[in-house]
Amino acid sequence: MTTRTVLATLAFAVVAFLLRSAYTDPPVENPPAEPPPAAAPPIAPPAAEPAPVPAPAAEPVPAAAPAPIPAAAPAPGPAVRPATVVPLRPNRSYDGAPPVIPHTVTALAAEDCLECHGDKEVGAPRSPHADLQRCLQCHLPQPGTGQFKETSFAPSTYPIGLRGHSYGPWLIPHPLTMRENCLPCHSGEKTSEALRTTHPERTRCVQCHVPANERWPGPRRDVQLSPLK
Amino acid sequence: MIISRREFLRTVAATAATASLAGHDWLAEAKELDPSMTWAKAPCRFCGVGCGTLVGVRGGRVEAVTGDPASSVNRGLLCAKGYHLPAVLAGADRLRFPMLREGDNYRRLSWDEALDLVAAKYKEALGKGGPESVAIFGSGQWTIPEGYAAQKWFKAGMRSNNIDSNARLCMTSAVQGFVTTFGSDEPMGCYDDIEHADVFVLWGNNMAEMHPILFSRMLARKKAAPGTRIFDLTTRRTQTSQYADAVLLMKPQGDLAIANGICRWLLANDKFDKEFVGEHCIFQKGKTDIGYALEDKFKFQDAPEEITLDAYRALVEPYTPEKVQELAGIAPEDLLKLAEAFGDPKAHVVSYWCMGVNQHTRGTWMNNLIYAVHLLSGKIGVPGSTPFSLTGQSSACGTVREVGTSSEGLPADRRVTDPEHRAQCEKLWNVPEGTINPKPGTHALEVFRGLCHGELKVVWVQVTNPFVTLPNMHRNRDGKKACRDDSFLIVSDIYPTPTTALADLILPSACWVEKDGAFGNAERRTQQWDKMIDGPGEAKSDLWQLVEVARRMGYGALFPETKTLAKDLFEDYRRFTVGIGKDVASWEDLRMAPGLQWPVVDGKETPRRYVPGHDPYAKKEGRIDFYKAKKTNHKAVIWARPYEPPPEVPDKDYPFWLSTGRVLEHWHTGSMTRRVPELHRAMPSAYCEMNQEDADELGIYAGDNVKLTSRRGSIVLRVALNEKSVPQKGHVFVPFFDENLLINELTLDAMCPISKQPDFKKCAVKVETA
Ligand code: SF4
Repeated sequence: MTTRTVLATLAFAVVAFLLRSAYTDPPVENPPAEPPPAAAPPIAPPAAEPAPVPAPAAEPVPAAAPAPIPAAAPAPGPAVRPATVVPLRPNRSYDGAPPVIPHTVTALAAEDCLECHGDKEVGAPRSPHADLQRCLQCHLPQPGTGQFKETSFAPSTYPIGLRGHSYGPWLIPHPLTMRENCLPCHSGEKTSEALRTTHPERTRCVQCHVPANERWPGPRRDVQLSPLK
Repeated sequence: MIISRREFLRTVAATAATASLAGHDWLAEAKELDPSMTWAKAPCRFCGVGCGTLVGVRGGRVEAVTGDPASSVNRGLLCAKGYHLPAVLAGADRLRFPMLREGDNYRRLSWDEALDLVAAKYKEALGKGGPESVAIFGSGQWTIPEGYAAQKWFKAGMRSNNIDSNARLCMTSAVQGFVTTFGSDEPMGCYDDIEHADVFVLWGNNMAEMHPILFSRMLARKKAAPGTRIFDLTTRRTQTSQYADAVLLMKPQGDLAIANGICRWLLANDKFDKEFVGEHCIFQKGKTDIGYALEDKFKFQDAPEEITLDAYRALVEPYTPEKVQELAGIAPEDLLKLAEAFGDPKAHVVSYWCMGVNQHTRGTWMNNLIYAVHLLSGKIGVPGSTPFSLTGQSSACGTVREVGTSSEGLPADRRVTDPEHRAQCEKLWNVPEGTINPKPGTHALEVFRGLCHGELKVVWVQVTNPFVTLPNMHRNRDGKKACRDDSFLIVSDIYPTPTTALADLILPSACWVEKDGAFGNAERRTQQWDKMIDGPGEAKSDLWQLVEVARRMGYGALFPETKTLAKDLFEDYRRFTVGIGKDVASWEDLRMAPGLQWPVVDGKETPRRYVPGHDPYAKKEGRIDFYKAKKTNHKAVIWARPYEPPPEVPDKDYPFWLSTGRVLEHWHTGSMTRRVPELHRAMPSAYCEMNQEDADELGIYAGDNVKLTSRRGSIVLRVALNEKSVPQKGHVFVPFFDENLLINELTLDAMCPISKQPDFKKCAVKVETA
């Protein structure tokens, strides 16, 4: 093992630990539109997580379950999606803002971010825009605490967990700017099961999944829509 | 769970039937959750890169921001500051009402009372002391209509030239560099040159932190075209240096020697572009040994003199690689690599610079010298080859430089000292001949020295925080503290700052999308936005404040009643720009575009100025036409500017160099960005960067406190070792964003004698454990 690999592994362990604590902290703000299920599954990678991961409850059935469900159809309803996203919110100023970095980083080693957050699936959230190389330009570590002055900023929320109708494909709950590549967050063994697509082989996500609001800004210029590989 | 195609189709079929039975109309909820998040474009509030944003507004509040995918500047990406714009507007302590100081307290005034008071104070001062006794100190963050209104009120109304701005601390060396070299301010190139360049030369410029979006475009260029090289000329290893192919660590002021060294090498090795130089350039020299403008009421007038190529050759001959090494501390082989990049006829070279070159006691000279390097090597006016002077503030170009809101400026490259320019402006403003005062007014530091000495009776500060940013704070601030009753200081701002703390009257301003506006970025791109929300409380735009006061003083004829104030003033200003190669687009055209680069002729923008085929004002033939250089017959000037030492160098008592600067996370003095929790926690307070070896020698560990002392003041700071940047041995660096740790109490107020811009990058300090 090279020093770099050792360092990366170590860094990953630390990151995974910190991520877990950050992501499993109770959300402080923004109650979701629907009350979340009691146990929100953490997004932290199971690989680095010895404690049992609370499995999402057996496919929840809406209280007033509709009668004629075709036998093999997926269960309708909001399921766990809203709940899994909500704990991510304390990490950013508002839905759509770049998440802050919940672990320490050395600014002098910025290019190392992609060791854990790049293409390879190691368990840390993968970047949906790994074509960009200077992560610390947008994602900031938080060595300080507290506030300089009180703020009255109340962050906005995206309408998460939405379908056009009970059996329709999920609507995309966020604008596509900076999220042109869907798969890093929505596919792969180590992503949150609730966010994971059941059909990664279908390569034109936006053919069925449409943004929940057609007025949202689109993808970055000169960038192909997902997936990139 | 894998669904087969069959199952999928079945599901789709079933959904129609069950939608209503599911008991929840999700689509309706989507609409409800995001019922009226409207998105509209506006340029970023902060830096001179001028990224396009889309602003999400709901319920009268800015709730989200994304990069505008349609903007050619940033193509959908923003930096950390840009992404945190929504919270910038929402600090709990936003100023909401006009407040008048009474002793140590403030009394709330109505707008009527406040505006009447301002008008009365200006009138009284004009009556007693004339136009010399009033001033306004504005900003490169003024919108274009705001700067224009102040300009018109002062120069066409009160006949006072005492209008200056914080751009004096930031851009005037660049302006003087352009004007003396090309006869007209602002760059000829554009950001799209990045995607055509082979070599980037950064002259004392930490772009990774200060121009992040352009830096990421440079990195993308490097990735797309392997072999693209970045030369980083710097006095400390910065975040930018991490990505550079060559880091040339130089001594402060060494840039003068390096640029001269390149010029000498190009001539001595016959690598200069003879055809280009012969066709399009002349050589000049000016005065030398020009001082540092430390004296009150310092005066300087350069004496340009045309010289021959041979005379020029003789003047740069002393800058041999060995001499450059002695003056700048860079190895001869490094200088050679850099010079060869310029000497390679096939390479496309872009130079970038900003405060390292402009905040320099020889700032104008340094700008001249970078142009000399590009002109001699012919690296100009071709896609991928240009000298590009970056800007700090969002509208330093659009407002201060284009509208000319400085003590000597008039709109669109005009000067108060030029009788023809005055006559043109008087005609356009419809004021009697002889209205405009031909004598330049007081520049930034003279404004505050004058305020301290009691020569200026009324000063209005808008959109800036001078009592954090002025150099040598004791000299330029403390007098105001002492002579409070003698002068009247009005400050318009959005939050309480150290400057509002000294104000006699505080006026609450609207910010960014709380008003209509337009900015002009560093690549001549004018960007307009519409008001989207109301400001908090009674906050009003700076434009409205200025125009209301002017009207109350009897200058109503200059500002006719209208419902579209910003637009009308912009169109009023636009008349100064058309037909002379500075044509800004109309307000309505700008509304429809993410931004347009002037000159805009027949609805078409001009990415590359002076270039035949790109710029409609340029002659059709030849490689380039410097058509604004009328005095030199369409030729650019290659200036001979020597190395001269800085005014204060480390010695036995003060053995360290001190440099100051900005950080990625905060905008200037942090009055906005520090109120965003995410940005504040990322960069909570100022620090002192030093070299590990120095720390070891002094027995200092990371996180310890040190006391920095200069001949002007002292301050205690936390030591940062190997954090963001690493200074050379014998250097320290302190950022200036922290209003509780004012590094400007230590800096020296020496200036470039030509531009009157202070040098915040070089003075001598001592370091002690604290
Ligand atoms: S601060 Fe500058 S680089 Fe950052 S988003 Fe705003 S304009 Fe762009």
